[in-house]
Amino acid sequence: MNRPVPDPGSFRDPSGRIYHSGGKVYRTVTGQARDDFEFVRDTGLIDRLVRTGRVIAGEAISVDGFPHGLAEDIAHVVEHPRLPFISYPYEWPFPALKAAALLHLDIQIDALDAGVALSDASAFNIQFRGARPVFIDLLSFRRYRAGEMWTGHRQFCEQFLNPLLLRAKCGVAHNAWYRGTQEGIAAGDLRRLLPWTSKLSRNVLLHVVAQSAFQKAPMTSDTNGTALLQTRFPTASYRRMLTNLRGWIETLQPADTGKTVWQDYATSHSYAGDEIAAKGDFIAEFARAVTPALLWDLGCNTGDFSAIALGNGARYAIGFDMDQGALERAFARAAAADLPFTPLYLDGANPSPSQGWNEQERQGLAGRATADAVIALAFVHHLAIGRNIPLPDLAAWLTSLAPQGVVEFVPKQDPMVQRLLALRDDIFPDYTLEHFQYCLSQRAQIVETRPLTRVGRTLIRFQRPGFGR
Amino acid sequence: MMTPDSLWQLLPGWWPTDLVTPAVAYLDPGTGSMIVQLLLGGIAGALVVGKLYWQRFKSFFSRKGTASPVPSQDD
Repeated sequence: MNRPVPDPGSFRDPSGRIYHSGGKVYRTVTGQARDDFEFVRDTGLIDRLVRTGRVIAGEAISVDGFPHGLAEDIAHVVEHPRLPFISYPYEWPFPALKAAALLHLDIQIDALDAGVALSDASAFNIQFRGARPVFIDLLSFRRYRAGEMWTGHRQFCEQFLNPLLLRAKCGVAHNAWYRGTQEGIAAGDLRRLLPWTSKLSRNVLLHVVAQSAFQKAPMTSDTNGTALLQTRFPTASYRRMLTNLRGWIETLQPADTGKTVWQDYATSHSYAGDEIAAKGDFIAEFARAVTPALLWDLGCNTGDFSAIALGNGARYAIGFDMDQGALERAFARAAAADLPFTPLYLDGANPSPSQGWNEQERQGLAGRATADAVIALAFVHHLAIGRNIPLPDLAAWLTSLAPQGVVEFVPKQDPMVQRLLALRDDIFPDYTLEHFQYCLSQRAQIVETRPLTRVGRTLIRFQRPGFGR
Repeated sequence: MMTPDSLWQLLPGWWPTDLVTPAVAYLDPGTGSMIVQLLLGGIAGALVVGKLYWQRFKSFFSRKGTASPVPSQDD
C-alpha cells in the first residue's frame, strides 16, 4: 500500500480520520474511539443501514496492513468504496438538502432504538448517489447514554433546518449564505429574517426563536447549574423530538416566489421542429462513443441531456445549474426514475472555491474535476455575453474540466443571445463561431462540428490532445 | 417595538459556564439547544429551569452574589 495521505477535510473528530491511498478510501478509528466503534458494530445497526443504502458500505481491513508511523493510535481501519463525486450542502438544491435532513433524522431514530446516538449532525457527513442521500461518517455513531441530550441539535438546526426554513419561509435559497459560512445558518440570524407570522408556529418558536434567545443569554458564573446538568433528557422525549422534527421537515416546501427564469426552458426554448431531437441524437452518439463513467453537464437545466447520456452509455452524471426551479425539477426527475444523476447548484462564473480550514477543508470545483467527459449545451453564451468572460478563457476552462466533451455555440443572431444583449451595448465583436472554434482548437482537437439550427446554433465535439490514443 | 420573539429577551441570563457534555462529545451543543431540550424533556427539566430562574429572580432582589456577566461565547 502506498503511504496513505490524510484527507485535509477530515480532522474535526478525534475519533479517526479519512485517508486516501492508491485510489482507495480508508477510515481509521483511534484507540479512544475503539469501545464506541465496537459497541456500535456489535449492535448490527450499521449493517442494517448499509443494506438499505442509507450508510456507505465499509469493510474492516487489517490494521497491520495499514502503514504505521501515522500520527494517531489506530485501533481499526475500514475501507470504503469511492463515491463518484463529493458535493457540499452549499451546492445542493432545496430538495437535496431536505432529503439529507430526513436521512439524518431517520438514521438517528433507528440508532436510538438500537442504543446508539450520533455525535454530531454535520451535513457534510452526507453525500449523494443520484438523488439518494447516503451517510458516510461511521465515526459519528457512538453508544447512547440514557438521559443524555441530543448533542448535535444545534448543528442540525444550523446545517439543515435553518437553511431549509430560509427558502421555505423567506423564499431565499440557502446556497450563497451557506457557502459563505460553511457552518450553516445560525438561529439568531434566521430569526431576524423570518416573517413574524412564521413565528407563530410552535416548531419555529422552539427551534429558532427560543434556541436563539437562550443561546444569547449572557452566562454568569454565580449560578450553580449542577441540578440542571444532572437532569435527564428522557429517551422518549429525545425520540419524540426527532420524530416531530422529521414530520415537520417533510412538509417544508420552497416558498412560492413565482417561476424561475429557466425552469420551463425544456418546453419554451427557441428550437424549431426536430432541432431539439437532433441535439439529443448528438449527445446520445457522443455518450455511446465515449461511455463516460462520470459526465458533467454544465447548465443541465432539468436534466434532459444528462438523461439521454445516461440512457446511452454514460454511467453517472453530475448536472450543474444556477436556476433553483430547474434544479428542483432535475432533482425530482432523478429521484422519480432513480437515475444516477445528481443536479447541483453552480454559478459557472463563480465556481465553488477551495475553502474552510487552511483553504483545504472543502475542495473547489477544479480540485474535484475528475469527469471523463463534459457537455455544455446552451451554456457558453451566458458566461461570454452575460458575464463578459472572454472566449479564450472559456475554452481553456471547459477543456480543463474533462478530456473530452461537447459544447454548443449559440450565435448572436439567436433570440436567446438577443435577449441577453437587449439592454446593453454589444461589446463582443469577437463573439463568433469561428473565433470560438479557433479558441477551442488552441486547447483541444475539434473532433466534429454539427450545425443545429437555422440561425446557427452549432454543436462542437472536442478532445484534448493525446487523449484516447 | 416589542415583537413576539423579543419577549424571550426578558429572560435573565442564568446559564452556568461549566456546561457538562458527554465525555465523548467534540461538539459544543450550544446553550440554547440544551435549554430547549430541557423544556422538551418534561416536568423535571422544566422544574429545573424554573428553579434556576427563581434563584436568579431572588438574587436580583437580594443584590447578593450577583456576579458580573460573562460574555456569551456566541456573541
